[in-house]
Amino acid sequence: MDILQVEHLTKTYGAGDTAVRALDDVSLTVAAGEFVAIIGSSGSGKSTLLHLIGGVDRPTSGTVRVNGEDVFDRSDEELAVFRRREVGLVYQFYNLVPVLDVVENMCLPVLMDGRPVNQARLENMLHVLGLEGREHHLPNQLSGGQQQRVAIGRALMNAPAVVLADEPTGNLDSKNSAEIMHLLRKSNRELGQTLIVITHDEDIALSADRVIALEDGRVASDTRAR
Amino acid sequence: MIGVTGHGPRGARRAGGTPGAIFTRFTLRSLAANRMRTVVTVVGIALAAGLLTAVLASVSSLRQGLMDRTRATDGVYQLAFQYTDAEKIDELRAQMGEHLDRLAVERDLGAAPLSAADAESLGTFLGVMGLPLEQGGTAHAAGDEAFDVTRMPEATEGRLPEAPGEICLPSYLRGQTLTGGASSVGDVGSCAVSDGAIELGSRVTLALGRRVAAGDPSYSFRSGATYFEGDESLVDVGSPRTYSVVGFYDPSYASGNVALVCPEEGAATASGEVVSTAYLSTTGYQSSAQMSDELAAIGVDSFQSNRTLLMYQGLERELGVTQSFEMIAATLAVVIMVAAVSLISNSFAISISERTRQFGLLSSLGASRRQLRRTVLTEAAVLGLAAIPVGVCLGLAGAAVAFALTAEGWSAMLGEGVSVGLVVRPGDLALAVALSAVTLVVSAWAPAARAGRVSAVDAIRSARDVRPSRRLQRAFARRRGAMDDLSADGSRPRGLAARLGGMPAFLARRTLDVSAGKSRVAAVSLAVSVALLVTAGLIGDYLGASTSYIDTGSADLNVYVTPEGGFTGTVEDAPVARMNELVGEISKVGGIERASAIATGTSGIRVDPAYMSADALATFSERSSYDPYGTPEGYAQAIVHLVDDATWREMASELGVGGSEADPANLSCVVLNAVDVNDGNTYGTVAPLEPGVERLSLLAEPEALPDDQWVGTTFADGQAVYGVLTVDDSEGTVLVATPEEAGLGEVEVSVAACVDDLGDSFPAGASLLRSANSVTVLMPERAVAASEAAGAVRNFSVAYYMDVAAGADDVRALSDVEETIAGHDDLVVSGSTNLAELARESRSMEYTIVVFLYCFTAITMAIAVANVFNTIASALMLRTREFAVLQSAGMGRRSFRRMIVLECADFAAKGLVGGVALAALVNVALFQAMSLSIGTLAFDMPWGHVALSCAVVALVLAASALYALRKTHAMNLVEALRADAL
Repeated sequence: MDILQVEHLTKTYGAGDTAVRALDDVSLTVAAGEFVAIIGSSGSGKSTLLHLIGGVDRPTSGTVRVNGEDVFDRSDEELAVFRRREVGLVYQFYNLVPVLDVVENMCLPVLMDGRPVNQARLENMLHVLGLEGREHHLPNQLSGGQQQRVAIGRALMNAPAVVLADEPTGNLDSKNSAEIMHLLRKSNRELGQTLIVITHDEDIALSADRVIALEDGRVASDTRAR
Repeated sequence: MIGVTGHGPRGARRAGGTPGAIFTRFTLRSLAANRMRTVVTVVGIALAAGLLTAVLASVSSLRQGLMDRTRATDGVYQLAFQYTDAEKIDELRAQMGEHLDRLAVERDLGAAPLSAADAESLGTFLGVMGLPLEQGGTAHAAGDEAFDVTRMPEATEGRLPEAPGEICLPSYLRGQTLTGGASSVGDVGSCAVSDGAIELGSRVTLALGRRVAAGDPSYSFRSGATYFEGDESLVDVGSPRTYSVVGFYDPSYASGNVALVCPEEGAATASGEVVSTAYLSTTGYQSSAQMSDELAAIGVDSFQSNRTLLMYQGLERELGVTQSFEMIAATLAVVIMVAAVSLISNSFAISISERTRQFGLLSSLGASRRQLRRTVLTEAAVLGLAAIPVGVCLGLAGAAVAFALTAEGWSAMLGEGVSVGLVVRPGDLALAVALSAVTLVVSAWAPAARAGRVSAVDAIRSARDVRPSRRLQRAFARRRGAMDDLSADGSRPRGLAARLGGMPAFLARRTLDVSAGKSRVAAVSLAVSVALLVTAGLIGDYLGASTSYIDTGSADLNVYVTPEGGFTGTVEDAPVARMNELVGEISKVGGIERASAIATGTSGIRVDPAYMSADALATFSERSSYDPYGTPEGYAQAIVHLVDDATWREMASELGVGGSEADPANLSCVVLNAVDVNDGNTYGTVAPLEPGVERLSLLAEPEALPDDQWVGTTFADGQAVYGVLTVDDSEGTVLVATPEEAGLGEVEVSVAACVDDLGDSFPAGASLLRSANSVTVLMPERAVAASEAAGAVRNFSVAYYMDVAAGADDVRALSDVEETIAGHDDLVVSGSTNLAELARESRSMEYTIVVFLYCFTAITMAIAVANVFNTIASALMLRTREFAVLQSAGMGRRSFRRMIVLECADFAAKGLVGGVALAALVNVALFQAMSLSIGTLAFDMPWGHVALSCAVVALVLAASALYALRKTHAMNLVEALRADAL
């Protein structure tokens, strides 16, 4: 079953002579539980595609459906609810809220939703992410790898249907990279979450179920692993 | 090889310019990139420069105004010395050369003794002086030509003497007769003689001599001096000369008995010797000491100086007024500079924090600390070049407007028709520019140093530098398990903020907890703004309170009238007896809307002892500087004001009391139950009688008391007593007889009202009527004159009060009223006051001070407001990425707005509480200071101004938050989330 349907998605930045078409009529579908790697050169539209799927930005034209519902049919307020319930976003530069500690950062989407935090899940995640003993540290008291684990924790805490990661290991050493990918993969497999990862790392791409290559804002190739 | 080594650097220069140029370009682009902060900083610098310019120019303008007043009253001379040898002036010219600016000479021709009979009332001698004559100088000093070298007399009648043989006398000699006969000076026979009562055209014969000490003829006295030491004699007496009286002058011109003649009048002593006084002004000297050295060089050791002028000219340093001017200017300058430094440095600090990654990058590319530091200082220089000239122009324009608005007030304050206009001195402008530049450098220095310390690592570590408060650190330390961060049900974070306001409140609270320093800057800026605004209002209120003690009543004019030949002290004196008739006449004078008459006399009164106010008795105890106002037995000394019929009726109607003005059988009175007291330091008011008093008796003095006895109050053995008093050589004032023993007659009067104010319609201000230590009683003249009470009230002075119709000329109306009264042979106008003009002047002064106060406050407020705006708007915009993260993690716009609003509300609360507390402290201090002079002042917090401050704070915060929200709303979430954007 397709959890994600992207149809004729186009995004243009700027207007007139300076207009840049970051995405040009992209269409694709992703099945539930699939692990998709998106590759492409810098400026090929990878991050733009990810942000549009995550409801962080609105397209110039085209639709994105998650679980059959058009993401951009929603108002700004509804889109915020969509972001905290339906997707989990992980960035290359962690993007943690500097004034919140580890637990608060991880629980942010749940708390903003006004729902109680699942204690067992939280403790399990802290354990799995290796953040035990760091619960009450602020982001600037953590290493890069630890910060990225917190970001992953925040993305997974709400058990979203889709996890979107924009070069999650781009800023980490190989050991930390491997661990992070292991965590994401584990969550993908165990919880059946759909995982879409932008990467330049060939190993990560090779470990994915499917690799989509973007070029100049268009899908250049879409290869499934055998 | 030569080509390679020689071309490298030169080639680099051609391609990219000097290393400094790239940093300058970097600076200019940074300024252009953040237009809003650049504008705020430019505004801050311009305001500071403007305010400094305005303060310095205002001080110079005021000093110029004061100097002009001194020049108008005293003349422009700086030094004056006496000489007898005319060659002294040539020596002076030779000694001072070009430095000598203006010179006037006044000749003392000698003194004529008055006859022993005349000397009793007029003084021993009449001195004769020539009018000062300017000797022709160089007149270098700009503006000096408008003023005389020394004071010139003003003729009050006739004219000043213009030719030899003419004489002008002090106005008090008009109507007097100088009689011949023995003089009071030793063996001098000749005396000043006039041909009858002196009028214009009279002839006065004088034989002039020189006043010298009896034992030392070389020691001479000023001819006009009124003192007579006894051991002086008159020498060198010339033959008598007769002068024709051509005018009378205002005697305030010269002290003593001085007659004026023209400058060319010949010497009149036997030897022909004349003592001259040279008045001189100079240019080019740096101090008064230099001038006195020049005089010493020509043998002049004794001289007098025009110290006030020398002080304003900065040539004499020791006097207070210039120093206090300088102190005020310095204090204001410091306040402005501190406020400006806080704004500008804050602006720079924010700009540096925003560009930490940029500086880090430059550092990683090899920029030295000095180059980074210089980048910021260049930024300051560029901003200063743009802002300081604008500020100086604005400051001058502002000061010019303020002076234009307050011209009337300054004229009222300085008097003598002196106007204060804006004076622009290049020195002031240079100082304002220099101080602004210093402010700018001080402001930019620390941020520049910080920019220099930014390392490459800072560029790579993009995490915001967050320092949790101690409270938060302790809270984190206490938390153990993962769920300790959350409420019991795990649905929200822990803490009161989250419980009350959900996630937005929690996030706002946390932000404030981890950026205490920044929020403190904003809160302190707000608090200072609030305190400034409230304090400005406070000072205005206190000024109002202090000027309300200058009570001119509701009347516009008043005229004091005496009977021709003087008062006899009874109600039969013409100004009292003809009160109603005169009021009728004056009312018909053009421009007069209403007239009233008040005849003020004294009388003893007796009331039921139960109605003597204990407070007042205690206030007027033996420890006070006054005589007792009354005794515990109910006797008191009263001031009795008798008023005309119409005034009585109007007062009775306003106070809602009965009492006929014309019924001598049923006398009634109004008691003004307030006595102004001043113990030397403090003004206050006490009630002499208990308010319920219904009757009082006027006490009629015995018909004939010996000359050395009177009826009144005094202290005897520590007790207040009333009765017939006399002065005993050893014991001071003593009681001779009690009222009973003296048999003082009593006239019963019913008290129609006992009030502490007479209402707005009463012509004389209540404070004018209140006596220093007596009960004040008002009664209708017509009823009193026809009753037994006529014998009880004595020793009158009579004043007529007038209201001028709207639009009528009060000066003209006053002169017409005076003319009307003078038309009666039995009445003389002994004095008059244009109360409307006084009130106008008082209001102008208050207005002037308030305008300056508000101008200063408004501009300082503007600096503070810009600071708050800058701090808050920048603090919010620095968190763009954080906001983007919150939104990407699912925070809705409404929650986001609430979070920002709550953060601003926190600033507002802290700022307001701090500001009001600060203002309250200032209020207490001001109250203490004012209480020293006004005892009955009540402490009050100016809540109106507090409310206004709250409104201003709310407005500033709303504007800052709206600006930041609009900016963050327009931000591209995707861009904001990308941390690699520099």
